[in-house]
Formats: sequence, C-alpha cells, structure tokens
Amino acid sequence: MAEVSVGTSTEQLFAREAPARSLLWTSILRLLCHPQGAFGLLVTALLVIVAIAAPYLAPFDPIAIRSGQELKAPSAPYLLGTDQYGRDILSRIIWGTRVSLAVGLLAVALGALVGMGTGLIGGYVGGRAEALLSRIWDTILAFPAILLGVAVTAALGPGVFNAGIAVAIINMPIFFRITRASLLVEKEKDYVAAARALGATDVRIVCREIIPNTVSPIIVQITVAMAQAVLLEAGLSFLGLGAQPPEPSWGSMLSESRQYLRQAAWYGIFPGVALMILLAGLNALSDALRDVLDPRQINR
Amino acid sequence: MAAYLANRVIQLIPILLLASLLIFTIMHLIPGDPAYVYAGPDATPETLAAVRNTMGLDRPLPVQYLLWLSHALRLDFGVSYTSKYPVIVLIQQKAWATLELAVTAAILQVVIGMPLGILAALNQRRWIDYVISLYNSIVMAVPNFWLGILLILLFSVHFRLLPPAGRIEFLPHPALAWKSLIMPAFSLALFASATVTRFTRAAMLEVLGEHYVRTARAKGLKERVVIVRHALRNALISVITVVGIQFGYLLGGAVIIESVFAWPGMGRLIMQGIANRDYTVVQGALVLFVAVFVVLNLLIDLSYAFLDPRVRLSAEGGT
Repeated sequence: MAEVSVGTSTEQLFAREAPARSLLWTSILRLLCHPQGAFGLLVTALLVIVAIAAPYLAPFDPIAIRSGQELKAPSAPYLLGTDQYGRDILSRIIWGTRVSLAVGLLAVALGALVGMGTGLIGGYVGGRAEALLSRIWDTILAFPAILLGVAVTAALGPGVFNAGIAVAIINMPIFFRITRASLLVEKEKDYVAAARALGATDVRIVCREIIPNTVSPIIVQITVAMAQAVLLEAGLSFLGLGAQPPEPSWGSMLSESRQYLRQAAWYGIFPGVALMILLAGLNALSDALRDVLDPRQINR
Repeated sequence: MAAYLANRVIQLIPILLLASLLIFTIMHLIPGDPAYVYAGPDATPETLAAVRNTMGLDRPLPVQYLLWLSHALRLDFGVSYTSKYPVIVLIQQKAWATLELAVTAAILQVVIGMPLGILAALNQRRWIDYVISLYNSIVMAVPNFWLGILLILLFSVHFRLLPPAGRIEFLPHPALAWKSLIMPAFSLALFASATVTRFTRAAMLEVLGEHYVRTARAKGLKERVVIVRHALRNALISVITVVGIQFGYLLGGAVIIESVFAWPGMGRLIMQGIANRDYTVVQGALVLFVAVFVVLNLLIDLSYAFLDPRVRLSAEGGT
C-alpha cells in the first residue's frame, strides 16, 4: 500500500528520466566533436548501412559460381577481382559485413546479458552465490580467448551461429566483473541508502537507481567487446570453425586466399582491408567513448 | 610474503579443477564415437565394444572424468586415437615449436614497442607522439593472421626471400632457422607491441612526474642518465607486467599463426586433433595450455610484488 506513494515520491525527488536523456544527447554530441569519436561513429554507421543494404549494394550474387571467370584481377566489372570459383570478391566482402556484424551483435548482446545478469545477482546477493559465480567466470577467463572459441565451436559444430555463442561465452566474465565491481561501489553510495530509506524494493533499487549509474563502463565495454568479437569471428572462420562455405565471411575468404596467393594477391588483401576498417572504427569508437563518458580520463 | 604466496597458489586449485571439468565436458559434447576413430572404419561391432571397454568409454562419464583427471595429474593424458602415440609425447614434440614462436614474439614486441613508447613519452603532445599514436591505432586494427598473409605476399611471393610455411629447426641449422621463424613471430608480435607502446608511454609519463626524477635533474645529472637510470628503470616494472600478461595471449594467438604458416606447434596439434576427432590429444593440449596460462598469471602477480616493494608491503600488511 505504501508502494505507490513511495514510487512516485522517489520519481519526484530524483527526476531521473530527464537528466538521463540529456546525458545521452550530450554524450553523442561530445562524441561527434571528438575526432576519434566522429571517425569511429562514421565508419561503424557506414558499415552497418552496408550490412543492412547488402542485397542492393552488392553488384553480383556473392555465391554464384561463374566458370571462366576464376581469379580475375581487379577491373570492371569485378572491381576487386574474383575468387577461385569466379565469385565477385567485392560482393562477397559486402555480404561478409553482415556475418561480421551479426556475430558481433549476437556475441555482445548474449555476453552482456548473461554477464550483467549474473554480475547483478552476484554483486547484490553476495555470499556463496557470488563466490560460486566468480569461480565459474574466473575459470572461463583462465582460457586464452581463441582457444576457448576453438573448443566451444568444435563441440557445438562449426557455423556462424555457434561461433557467435562461443564468442559470447568469452565475453560473459568481463561483463560480470564490470557489473559486479560497479555494483559493489554504487551499493554503498548515499542515494541507495536514501532510496532504501524511502522504502524502495531491492529490484527497484537495482533497476532504477544502480543500473543507470553503472551504464558508462558497460557502454565502453560493449564497443571493446564488439571489436574483439569481430576479430574472434574472423579468426574462427579463418580456422574453418566459423562461417562455412559458400557463406561469405572475411575470415574464411582470407583462409581460402592462401592457396592462390601467387596468382591472386588481391584475394589475400581486400577482405583484410575490410576487416581492418571495421576494427579501426570500433577501436576508435571505444577509445572516444572512454574519454567522453568518463570525465576522469579526459586529461590522459 | 609466504602467506600471500600460499594463498595465491591455493586459489589456483579450484580454477584448474573447474577448467579441467569444462574441457572434459566440452570434448565429450563433440559428436562422433571415439572408439570408431580409434578402431578405424572397418571395425566390427565386437572390436568397437572391446575398444570401448579397454579405453573405459563404457563407464559413466563422472567415472571417466575422475580416471582421466587422476592420470592427467601425473601428466598421463592417454593415447592419441589416430596416431596411437601417448599424448604427452606428441605434446613434447610440438610444445617446443610453439614456445620458440611465442618467446621470439615476446622479445620482438618489447624491441618494437618499448622504444616507441619511450619516444612518445619524451615527446608528449608533440607531433612524434601523435604519429606514434596513429601508428598504434592502425597496428591494433590489423588481425595477426592477415598480417601473416601480407608478409607472405611481400617476402615469399614477391621478393622470394623467406619460406612461406614450415619450420626449420634451430639445432641443426641455427643460421637458417630465423628465416622460417621471423615472419610468424613478427605477425604475432606486432599487435602486442602496440599495447607495450601504450603502457611504456603511460608508465614513463607517470615516472617522469615523480619527485625523485625532479631531484635527479636538480642534482644536475645528464638528461640521458636521468631517463635511463631513474625513469626507465622504474617504468620497467609496469612494462614487465604487461609483457607477462601479453605472453599468455601470444601463446593463444600462436594457434592461428601456426595455421597461417604451417608451423608444427601446439595450435596445429589441437586443430588437427579437432579435425580427426582425436579428443584425448585436444583435451591434453588444452589442459596444459590453461595450466600454463594460469601459472603465468600467478607469476606476473608475484613478480609485480617482488619488483615493487610497495606492493609487497601492502600485501604483508594485509595478511
């Protein structure tokens, strides 16, 4: 019965909604004024558009085999040349953007969800649950990332989706640690005590008070994890455990190119350039976000 | 210090146990019957049953795990299903190649990364600093396996200077061995060197702001002496930590690089094991990898305490 009146009074007291939105806007504006941030945002946005519009942008069917057109050097109409089956490399790179970003999104979303969820539970409940969760995630962290990816995709079977799951598992402990650490810090702050004094429930305190205050490190970690996920997917596909032929993926294209380096140098170059552009964009974005979202880091 | 050490070592045990359980479980999720792999395609059902019996595959999984673990503790990881050699023998053959690759890469990352970091710190916020920072951003966006391909294109296909694949063993041919080693080691090292540069720069900047550096300058010491003997020496502590942490990643990264250059190491052993469903091999290699990784992390923490008296004191004060 006291729930309702307490709910409205915390709302009025802290008016959390309005400043949160303006913080988002100021962050985006500051990001655009930050040279690295503008670059990162631009490159990432551009590649997201390429991924979405792949069917309209790609000049050819990425998996159609054309006999007689094998390993053509870059020239019209195949701007980046063709591969060993006469497939247009530019079209395959454009479609490959989808694979990279899709695996990245899946891996980061799932990794953040499970990592943050367990981090909130562990940090808030404490005690044995926290100790157990910490041990489990420490164990995952004891593996070199790529090896865990190799082991998990080997067990689940190769494929884009399973590569995404594998990379998500690698991401989980990092999100767990960040969430738990900020929760432990925030839990002791006065505003939490104030909310509790006003009669707010645990769930309400976590969702409405603590999560909004731990959002900055999480956002930075999301971009860092995204870059790592793209790199790992490419690595797993390179090892033959990610995307399966004929599906176009930058990692598997590079892997296949190795047999034709003498005849077709471009084949080993362009998919890597695409990968480099995406990684540079994501890296720049995460560096800039770190500056923009954390005032303590600005002078570094 | 002893209590701190003991505490840290004890913490490793549950992690290693959980990791071994995880690896065992993952390997048993892989579809396919290992007895079939072991006995070959022509095996009769009776032979398969006999193989399952001798390999203990017909026992419950928890029993299999405990048996495997008790053997693994004595470094007995079983027998390879395909080659029939003991797994530990295969690992011994391959581990050296991976270690050679990772150690060379570790040295290279310091040789490349540290001077750049020092240079950037001494020229803070001048154009050299910005150029190095830009270079670093580019290096961090280049995946090691792609760098490997680019190097092969340049030095093997174009200039025909270096072999594109394989490993020349050091002992019989010390003068030739570097030819097969340099490209894989460099591919592995370049990305890591960017991190070394960043950390060296930050550590140098921090140290250069300290009182003792100001004192050294005030004493009238030459700038070179101040930088090398006072600043660099102290900055080294955090650089060593980074190099240690990176070494684990270099070992992991070797898995991909070995595949690029057909380097006969642990990574190739694992990948071939997966391809052949030879999971005793994969299990053994993974467990060893994780054990090395975990022990390495412990050593880094300990070396940090050893090199920096302040950490040692606080650790002792805390226990």
